[in-house]
Formats: sequence, structure tokens, C-alpha cells
Amino acid sequence: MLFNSIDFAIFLPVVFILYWFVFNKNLKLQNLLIVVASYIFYGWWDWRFLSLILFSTIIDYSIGIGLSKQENPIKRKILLWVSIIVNLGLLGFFKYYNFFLDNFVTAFSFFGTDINANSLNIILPVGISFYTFQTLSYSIDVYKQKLEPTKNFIAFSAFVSFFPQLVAGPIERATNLLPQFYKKRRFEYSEAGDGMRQILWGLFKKIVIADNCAQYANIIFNNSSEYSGSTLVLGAIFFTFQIYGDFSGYSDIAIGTSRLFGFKLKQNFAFPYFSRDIAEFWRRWHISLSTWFRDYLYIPLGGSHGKTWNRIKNVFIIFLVSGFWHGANWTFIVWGALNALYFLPIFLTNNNKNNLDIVAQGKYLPSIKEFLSILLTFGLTVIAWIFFRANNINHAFNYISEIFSSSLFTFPLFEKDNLVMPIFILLFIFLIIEWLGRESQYAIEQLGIKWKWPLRYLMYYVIIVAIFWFGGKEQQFIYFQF
Amino acid sequence: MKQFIEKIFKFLSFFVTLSSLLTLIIIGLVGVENTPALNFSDSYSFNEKILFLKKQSINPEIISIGSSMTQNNLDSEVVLAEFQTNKYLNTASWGMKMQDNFNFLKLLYSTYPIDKIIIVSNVVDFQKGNKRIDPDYIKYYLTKNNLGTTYSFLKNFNLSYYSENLKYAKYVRNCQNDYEYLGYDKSGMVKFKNEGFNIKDQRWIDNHFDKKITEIEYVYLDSISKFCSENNLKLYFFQSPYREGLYSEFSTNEMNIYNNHINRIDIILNDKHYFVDSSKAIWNDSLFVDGIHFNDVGAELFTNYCFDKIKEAQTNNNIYIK
Repeated sequence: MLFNSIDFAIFLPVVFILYWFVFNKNLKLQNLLIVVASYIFYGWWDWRFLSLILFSTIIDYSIGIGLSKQENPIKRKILLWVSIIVNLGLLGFFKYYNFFLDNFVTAFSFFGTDINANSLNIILPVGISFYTFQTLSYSIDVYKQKLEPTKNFIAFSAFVSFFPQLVAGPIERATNLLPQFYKKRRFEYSEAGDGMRQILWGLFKKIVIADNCAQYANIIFNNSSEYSGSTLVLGAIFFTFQIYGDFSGYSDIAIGTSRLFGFKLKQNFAFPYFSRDIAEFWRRWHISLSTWFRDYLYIPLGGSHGKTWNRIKNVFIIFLVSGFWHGANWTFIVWGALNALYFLPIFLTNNNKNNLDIVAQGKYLPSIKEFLSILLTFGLTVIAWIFFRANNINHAFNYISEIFSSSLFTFPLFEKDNLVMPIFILLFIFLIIEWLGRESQYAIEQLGIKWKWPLRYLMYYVIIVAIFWFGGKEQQFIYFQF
Repeated sequence: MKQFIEKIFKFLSFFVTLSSLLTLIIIGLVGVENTPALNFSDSYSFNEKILFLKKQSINPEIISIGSSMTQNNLDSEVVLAEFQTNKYLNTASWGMKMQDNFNFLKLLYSTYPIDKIIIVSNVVDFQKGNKRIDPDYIKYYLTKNNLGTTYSFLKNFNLSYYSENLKYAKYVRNCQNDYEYLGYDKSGMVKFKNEGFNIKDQRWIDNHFDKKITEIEYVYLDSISKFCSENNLKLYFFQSPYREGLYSEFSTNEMNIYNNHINRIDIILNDKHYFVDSSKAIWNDSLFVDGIHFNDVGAELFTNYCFDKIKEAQTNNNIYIK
């Protein structure tokens, strides 16, 4: 089920009413309702893959119980590895099988040996990268004794399948989300109201910003050989806003929906395009994934300790794995490597923690230095996104080489030209709102809070009308494919 | 909780009331008859045709599908006379490619008791640019499933579509001298009247070879052919011609592309369906409103020509005509 669909618009109030009015007296029943609702939510897409979620849930629940009973360090380690192998095995099979097979065959044919290997027609189960990482973090935390294993199967199932963040995150840690299923939830007016506002802003980002930019990004990327360098730059910028609107919009809807049910999820995006360097960008983009890799991969590898070579190796590993996590394609790996290359100079000169605060905090405008830093970081990010969006490596290199040709200095032109200007105006307004709201959890958190209700309602109506104006196309979220 | 529900209710009621009032005022101002068709697809012409189909009381046994080639060039009166039936509808709309035709055909077949299909086509139907169609929405709408229609209406609701087409719907229903005219006859054909038609220079000389023919469209023609064979549907495929003045000026390369296109269709439909290639006959410029669209006189002549060729072939016990 898509957040931007009529199905979800019916589903959400029904679950909300059942949750607060029918099952509100019994915590177990409330959790059970969440499990059932989450399975319906997921099964709406393809019910067959519910078995994978259930399997992953049972495995990690059992391993948690096993770890609690086991004190022998070797047996504990074995249990942990079972969880890792099962979760990564599922992910590896469904997501990476054909990739490895194709590359294996190509590598052998390079040395003159032809292997006849049949690739499988595998459907990638939506959200598998998200929920496997979530359950994996539970087993690791229990193993490291950072978390008491749960004996409440329903609460654990609800944690794994929690519908607002099941298919595209944020990837929640068991230490944050699981305990919330043990406690009785109280309805809080301010939280629910704020949640509704966050959902509204998430829908705006997805339907108005991302889907509109997608139209142009798709035309330009799919026919890139026909366009001038200047038009290709526009295409890359459109994709830059598409992916931000799409993914951060999803996170906003997920966090807002959770708040309606009395849950608090962690912030996943913190205005990343206002970052002053690439290190800051990675502290603000897909925070739940970056911190997951930091805690479960980077730090166990040694992190920023040790010799320079080790530090470089660790940075590359984390960025390459992060790229590969996004998809079984060399484009994602190069995207990860490019980000590692951006990050290394800052990291090796110990400047990666220079910009921990919010840019121009308490001011309307940034300084010229800050503005130029933001512009440079944004530019680097745009170039990296070209690899992320391109069909293959050749496509990405051709795209970039055309950008850096003399046609960069021509006027950008492409089909549907007359409709581009409104999108630019929209993006400009969007950036102003995001800039003004950058000190909050999401852009319109504080906007209009102190206004009189008719004015505040008017603002919400304008956002709703914009959503209806551009709506009706039910575009998939990009991150569903990851 | 009570306060929250009350506020949400108040907020939404106010919004719904305000938008309903505004909608009623707008409909009152433009007139019910001028309200746009629902957005079943991203093509207004297609949506307008679905609105037309919904208003028809007959259950068609013969349908024509395709692009403006079918919509403008296939004369309804000739078809009705040839098959001696009134159970015929022209379901074509602008820019339908073979892929769109195949998808739409499946939908129409599941809705109507069809036994004959007519397609009028030219190279434009094999070039890039497919439609985004919601088949469920159309099915609900045509079969008068109100719950399904309401669901699909909400699912596809797009304010900019209705706003942009408020004036446009009125225009296309009345602009008799323009290419965008969508005033249908009783079967769904749009006739371009020869008298006073506003012929545009650019369209008069456009031979449509600036866009490439896409290979996948032949695959879909093949799918249409197979679908018709599997379901015992008789398929009539009429290759629509160019006006003489344009055809005679084809470069060698254009002529090769065109002949190759005809040959491809020839191979796909080979001996299985009725295929009339009218392109080798001479079609006087006075019968056209641009390079490929006939006026009313031309459409009648062309449709008669195709059926005469079929009769001729049937006399010779041969269904394949060239």
C-alpha cells in the first residue's frame, strides 16, 4: 500500500479508530492490531512475501531467546552468526543473486571460459533491505547485551513489521522502538496534531516536489544522448530534488503516522541540502542507515582509530557497502566510492566534525562563506546522484562527459519546455520553506503555529490544494526498490 | 482525543464544504454540458471518447480502435451500411499507439460482445509516445459500477487536470474547423468538414518521418493479431494513405522506411486477417485536411475503397488484399 494512495487514506483512519477506541484498554490487543494492520499493509502489495517477514521475525525472536539462555561465548557467537547469515542470506538471494551471477559469468568469459549460468527471475520483496537490517540490529544488540531479549512475540512482531516504517524506513533500532511496544500508549493531542502536520508536509514533498521533478528527470535521463550539457545539468538537479522529496517525504509520513499511534521514531533527514561539507551531508541524509552502518560496521572495523591506511580502508568499506545496499548495480557502488572520495580529504585532515551545528542558526541568511560551502557541497552531491540515477556506468560517464562539454554553455531546452518554469517556482518556494524551518524536525513544524486559526487553516488548505493539483498519479517511492 | 477528532472533523468539513461550493459555482458558470470528461488517462481525447461510450445505449458487436487515423478517416455511415448493423462504435482517440490499442482492446472485449475489430493506421501509430491509462477505472465507469468509479475517481483525482480542461472541453466539442474538434457522430467518428476548415501549413506538409518507428509497436500489433485469432474476432486492418502531393515527394529514404513499414504489417497479419493497403492508390490533395487526415469526403471515399477491396478479395476467395 502506498502512502500517497486512496487505499491508505481509508486504511489509516480505520486502524486509528480501532486502535484508540476499540482496543485501547488492552496493550496486547493494540499490539496485535498493529501486527495485523501491518501485514495487511504489506500484503496489499504482495501477500506471498509476508512469509519472509514472518520467517525473519521467528528467527530473530528465537535467537534472542536463545541468547538470553546461553552463556557459552562460542555458542552465543554461533547464534549471532545464524541471525546474520539468515538475514543477509535472504537479502543476498532476493537482491543480489543475479548481480553476482552475471558478474561471475562476465569475469570468467574475460579469461576465455564460458559458463552457462541461468539467471533467475527473482522479484525483489519490497522493504527487505529495511526490515532485515532492523531485525539484525536486534540480534546484535542482544548479543552485545545492550538490550534485554524480548519474550513478548506479539510486541516483537509489531516491532519488525510496524507498518509506517516497514517498507522504506526509518530503520529503527530495537533499543528505541521495541520498548515502546511494552508500554501503554497515551493519546497526546499535541503529538497527534504535529503528526498530522508532518504527514501533510511529507505528502507535499512526495506528490508536489518529487513527482513533478521525476517527470523531467525521467525524460532527460532516459534520452540523455539527445540533450545538451546544460539540459543534463537540469536533469541531474531535478533528480536531486526528486530523490530528496521522495525519500524524506516518505520518512515524514512514516514518522507522522507513528506519532498518531503514540510512537516516536527518529529523525531520518535533517535538511541535508543545506550542508556545508560532505561529512555534514552524511550526518543529515538517511540518518537511520548512516548510523546503522556506523554502529554495526564502521566501529567494529576499528572506526577512525588506527593507522591512516586502516582509517581510509574503513571509510571506503562503509561507503561502498552503503552504495551496494541501495541496489545490485555497479552504479550504486561507484556512487558510494565517489562519496568516499569526497569525504576522505575532510576526514584525513580532521575536519569532518567542523559543522556539527545548524547552518546560520538563529539568522535569516547564511554568511557568504557558508553559502559558498553549501553550494559546493550541493554541486558535489548532484554529480554523485548522476551515478545513482544512471542505468549503468557507461550511461553515467557519458552523461557527465556531455555536461563538461561546450554544450554546457547553451540554453537548456527539452520537450514540455513551457511547464518547466512553474516547477522552478515551486522548487524556489520549497527551498525557502525548508530553509526557514531548518532548525525544526521538519520544515513546517513551527510554521504558523502562533497564527490565528483561519490563517493557519488557510496555509494547510493551500498545501492540500497543491497536493490535489498535482496528485492522482500514485507514483511509487524510489526507495521501495531498495 | 475528543478534541483532536473534533478539530480534524471541523477542518475537513470546512474544506469539503468550501470545495463543494466552489465546484458547484464553477459548474454553474460553465454549464453541466461543458464539464470535462473524467481523467481515465493522460490524453483528453481518450477521456472524451470514454465519456461518449458511456452515453451509448447500444452493446456494440463491431468496434474500431486506433488513433485519429481511425477516428477521422473511418466513415461510420459506410461501416454501418457494409455490415448492415447499428451495433458499431468508433472507440478511437488521438495518438493511440499499437500498445495502447492492444491494452484497450482487451478491456473492450471484456466489456462488450465484440466480434469484429477495425483498425485504420499509419506510421504515426508505430512511433514513440504511449498513454497512461487506468483500465479498472474505465471498466467500472462503462459497466456503471458506482462504487468502483468513485474509488477510481478519488484515486486519480487531479485538480490541475479539471482546471486546465474546463475551457478546453467546451472548445473541442465546438471547434468544427480545427484539428482538435471532438464532436462525434452517432458512432463516435469525428468528421472534418471540407468547407472552411482551418488548414495549418505545418500540418499540411508534415509526413511524420521526423520521429522513429519503434520496434515494440510491431510486437503489439502481433499481439492484437493473436488476440483476435484466439478469441475468434475478425480483424480488419486498413493502411491509411498520404495525400498525393506529399506521397509523391517522399525521399528515397522515406519511401524505404514506408515500404518497410507496410511489409512488416504484411508479415504480421499474413493470411490471418483482412489487410487493405491503400497507400499505392492515388489520393487527391483535395480529400485531406493535412498530410494524413481525410476530410469528410475523403473519409467516405477511403472507407468505401477499403470495403470494396475486401469484397473483391472475397470474390476471389482470398482474405488478404494488397
